[in-house]
Amino acid sequence: MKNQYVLLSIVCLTTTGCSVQQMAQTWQLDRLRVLATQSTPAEAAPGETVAFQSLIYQPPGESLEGVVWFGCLNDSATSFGCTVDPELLDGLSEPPSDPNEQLAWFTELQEAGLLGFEPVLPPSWDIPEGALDNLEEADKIEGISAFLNLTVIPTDAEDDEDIEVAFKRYPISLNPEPNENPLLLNFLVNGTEYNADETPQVTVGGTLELDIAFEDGAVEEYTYTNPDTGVSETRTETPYLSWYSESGTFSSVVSLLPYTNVEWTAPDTPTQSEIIVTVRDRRGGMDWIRFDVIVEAE
Amino acid sequence: MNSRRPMYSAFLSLMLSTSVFAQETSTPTEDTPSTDEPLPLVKNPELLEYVQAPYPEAAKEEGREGTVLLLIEIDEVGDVSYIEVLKSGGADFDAAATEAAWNFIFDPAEDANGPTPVQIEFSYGFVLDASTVEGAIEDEQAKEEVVLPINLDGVVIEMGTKRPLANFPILITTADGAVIETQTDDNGNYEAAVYPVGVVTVQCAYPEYETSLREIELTEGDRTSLRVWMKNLNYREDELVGVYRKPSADVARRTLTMEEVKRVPGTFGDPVRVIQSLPGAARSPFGSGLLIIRGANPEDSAVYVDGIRVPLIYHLGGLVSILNPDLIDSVDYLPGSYGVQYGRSLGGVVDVKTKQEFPEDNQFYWSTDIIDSGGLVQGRVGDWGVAVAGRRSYIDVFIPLFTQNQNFTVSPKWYDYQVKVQQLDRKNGSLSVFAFGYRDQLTAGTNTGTAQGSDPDFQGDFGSINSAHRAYIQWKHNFSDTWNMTITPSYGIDSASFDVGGGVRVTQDQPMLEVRAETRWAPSDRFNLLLGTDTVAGNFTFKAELPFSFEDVASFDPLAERNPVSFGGEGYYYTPDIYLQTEIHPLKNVDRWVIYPGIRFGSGQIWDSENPDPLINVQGWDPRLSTRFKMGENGTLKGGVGLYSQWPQPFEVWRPNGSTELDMEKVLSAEVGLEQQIIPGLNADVSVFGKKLYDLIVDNPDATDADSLFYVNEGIGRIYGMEAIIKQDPINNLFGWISYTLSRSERNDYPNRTSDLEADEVAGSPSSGDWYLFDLDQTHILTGVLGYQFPKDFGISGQLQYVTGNPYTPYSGGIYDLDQDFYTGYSTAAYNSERLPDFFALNLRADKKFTFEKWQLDAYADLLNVVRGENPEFVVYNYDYTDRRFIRSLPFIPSVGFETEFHF
Repeated sequence: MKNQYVLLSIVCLTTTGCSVQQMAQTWQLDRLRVLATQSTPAEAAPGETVAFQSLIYQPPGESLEGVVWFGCLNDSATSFGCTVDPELLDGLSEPPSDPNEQLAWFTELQEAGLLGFEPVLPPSWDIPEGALDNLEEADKIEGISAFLNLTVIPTDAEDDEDIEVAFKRYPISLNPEPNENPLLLNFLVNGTEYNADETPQVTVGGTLELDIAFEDGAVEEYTYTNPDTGVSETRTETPYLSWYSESGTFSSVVSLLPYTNVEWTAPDTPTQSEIIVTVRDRRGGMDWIRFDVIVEAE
Repeated sequence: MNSRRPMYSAFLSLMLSTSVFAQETSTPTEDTPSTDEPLPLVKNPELLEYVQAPYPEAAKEEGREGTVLLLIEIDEVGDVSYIEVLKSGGADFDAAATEAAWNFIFDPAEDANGPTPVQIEFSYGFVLDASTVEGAIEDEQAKEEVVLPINLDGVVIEMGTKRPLANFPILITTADGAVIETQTDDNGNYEAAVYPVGVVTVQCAYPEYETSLREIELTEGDRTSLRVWMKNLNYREDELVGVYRKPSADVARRTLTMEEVKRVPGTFGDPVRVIQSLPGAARSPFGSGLLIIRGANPEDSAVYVDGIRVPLIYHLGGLVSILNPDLIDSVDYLPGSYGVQYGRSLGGVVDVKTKQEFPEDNQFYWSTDIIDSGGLVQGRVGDWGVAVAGRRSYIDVFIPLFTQNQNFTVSPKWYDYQVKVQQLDRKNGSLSVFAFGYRDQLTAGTNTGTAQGSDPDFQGDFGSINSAHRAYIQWKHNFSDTWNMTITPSYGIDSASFDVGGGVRVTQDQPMLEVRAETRWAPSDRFNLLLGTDTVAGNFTFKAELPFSFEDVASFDPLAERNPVSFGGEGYYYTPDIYLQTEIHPLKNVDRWVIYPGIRFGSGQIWDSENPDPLINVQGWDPRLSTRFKMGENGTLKGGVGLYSQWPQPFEVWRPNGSTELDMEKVLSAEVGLEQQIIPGLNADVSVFGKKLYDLIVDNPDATDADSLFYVNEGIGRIYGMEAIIKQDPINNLFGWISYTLSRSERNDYPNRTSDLEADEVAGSPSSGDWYLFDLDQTHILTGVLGYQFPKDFGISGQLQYVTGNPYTPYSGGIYDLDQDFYTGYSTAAYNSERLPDFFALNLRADKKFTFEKWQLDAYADLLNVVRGENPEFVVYNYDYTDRRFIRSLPFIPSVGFETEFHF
């Protein structure tokens, strides 16, 4: 019976029958939001120090108060990441003025898992030495997924709706071949390679064939061991790209290898539009490229 | 035999409402003015036995002719009870006509209450044969010496149906002006000796038929045949007279006749869809045909075909049912408090009955609309009635026309078939064999060369296939006037498969043997006993392939480290249910009060071939009681209370290791109501009902791995409300009804776990232990249906529907999952705490029947949502849950189609 509902919904949504006004799409860069993070290294062992950075899009004219990072092991996480006392976060907007109180508050934040506060305190995490102590030796190769939470606070945030919240899993293991980020080399426009500081041009309403180039070895082979059977196999990563733009439209907002290209149609008015492409290797590794396109009048 | 002797012409002038008078049986009073009005007739009287009056000798000698107009009163058994001469044709003619008319025999007229006395006007003509006028001596000689041969014969047949028409008068006017009268025999045949030969006119006139007047040339020595086609001026008049409700142990059984419901707008000519316009049935999303009856889940209502349970009653999308509409005799809709014959369901019951009668001639039906086409051939082969039907959709051909610019295609296909064979005129019973089945296939996906999302495990099309096939033999036998038995063994197989991009594959096959047997013993008209069994046994196999394991999800593994799993099972099940029901009439007036106590014993086991212990082993008693008490002539008080049990759904039954420890879900249901005739032909039915649900199966919040119990019997629920319907029976070309349902349906999944749940519960969610509204709870459901049949077989009808919007849970925002690149919505509001705006729609239908000599064409236009409100079906959010829109229901849809009916 539920199939009937599915069919009608699909038919309705794919025809002009069931009208719904257009809403903001995920590829549209029109508000402050976090698009990706990168961890270095992408996979760490206990005792290692990991550095983090975030890809934040800020619309022109908007400013960022900061990005708060928390980290926790998965035994204290929920399906939405780390559990953080909201009262601690409230203090971020109005920190205690007394130096002693400030120190106590900061200590409390660190105990709650504070990793950093971009841009003033670059986030990093010293992975606890005992992070894998609860695992059998054989399971430590696969390891665990810890959690990272990001809270992106714009300047003049009025309420919670203005704050962007995101979370991410971070792999901690004794993997002898830990994962690395899928690094992007540059981008291509109509088959021509561009560096990130170059600005391709297109006339209004014109189209560009956009593509990216990976650095050598960005798409890794890795060994996966089935925890149930103990059987190991070699797998190849299947990264995917997510495309974002301030204007224009994409033929597809996601490219999954072996497809890496999309067609971008410029808007009908002259402008300069930022385009961002992120890549995820589906093992926690990420990278991105952002560049501008100048849209000229005919 | 009809020539050369005094001729008589008599033509019946039975007119519809203007000339046939229902006789007043009482004097109107101020207190009861409406009930003493003449009742509208639903059937006109029919002259069964015509008596020829002797031609008065004096008039014959004098060559006089004449016509007498009589007023004839016909009583409720069809006898003539009064005659009055309204217009004299002469004293001798008056006397002869009156004497003959006293011996007429009629099939009595009927109104909404049954046979009723009426008065009719009847013209009795006396016309002399020309040769008779010339000399009586020659006539006497002719009678004794000359028997002229029959030179004209033929048959009178109803147009469109090819039904032979018996006892129809034929008037033949010869070339010299003489009139010869004869009439058809039981097979519609007539013959006459018509002299002198030459061009003659043949006239056939009969009430409610268009008069046929034909000229034909007869030649000396030749015998000529003339077939006379008579067009029925109102075919639907008889078809529309049907039973809407019949007394039984089922308190709210509503039986609908096909010709009535096929004309309801929005049904696309499919009678099964009309139940969505009846009390207790909630509106289904997009008109998809989901059976949401009295606040129950769609899967909690059962569907039967001739008492054999089938998985679903509609094809994909719910636009048409799985049976050819022309093969359906009736649809029993039982929203609640039904008898012990039905079990294993908490919600309502829909039982579709196929035709038990087969036409004497061969008939072929064909219907076509924008969705599909289908046909039915039925007739007789020797002593057996045979019907073969089939249907195939082609909506998948048209959908791409609307999605040319979309990077997405959807392709639904279905077919169904039915073959029924029934032994006719079987002594003391009947024997029939029926096989039917369907297959629904849905494919959806994007164009090639494009990634379908970011997951490599889901890069193919979405596809599902559902099919079911059934074959039964039904043997009915009356051992005596007080004892009969019906046995219906059936075999069937249900199959389902589901495929999402090659990453998820699920297949299931379930062959089954079902036996329903009933015997009824009725030693007196005050007591009878029904004993039956409803046993289902079979085996099942299923296989599932997933791109991830339960452990992957629980341990938050990276997507690339998911471990594909494959698992399956096979086993068998046995569910012998037995039931016993008595029918008791406590009072001497047996029609006044009837009580139906009954009990159903349900039991069953399901085994997995890998486990020695049954997955499920349950038993339970379902006692039920219903009653009907007649209040006066036009009212009936009714009520019922009973327990209903339902098996877990198939996906809830299986567990890798050991028993599922699940019991049956249960409902305690009570109902009281009143049926009242407001005026003849206008009836009201009001019911108040309440249901207490317990042992509902819900997710086990304590489940942590594959060895855990996935489900537990911890949920409870409550449903209560009232239903009302006022229905105009199809009299005087008008039919319709207004139905209204007021109800509330709530659930509480974990009433005893309020403080035990994990910290990530959302307040007011199903997991919090709070009461919440059922997902498809609709407080007000108001439906009006009105249809009118105009002359010339043209009809229009309309359906108006107003329904409270479904509840939904608003999201407060979204949290971005950086690994999977999507936002997960969260809500701080209570589950289902808001409602969609109300639904409002007006549907119209117009149909016209064209009648030709050997076939009929019924063309119709179904106009859905001619007027409509905002009509949201659900809420969609943008990618980060900061904005939302309503997805509106179906737009204005004009659907045209036609049905043809051939007789050969």
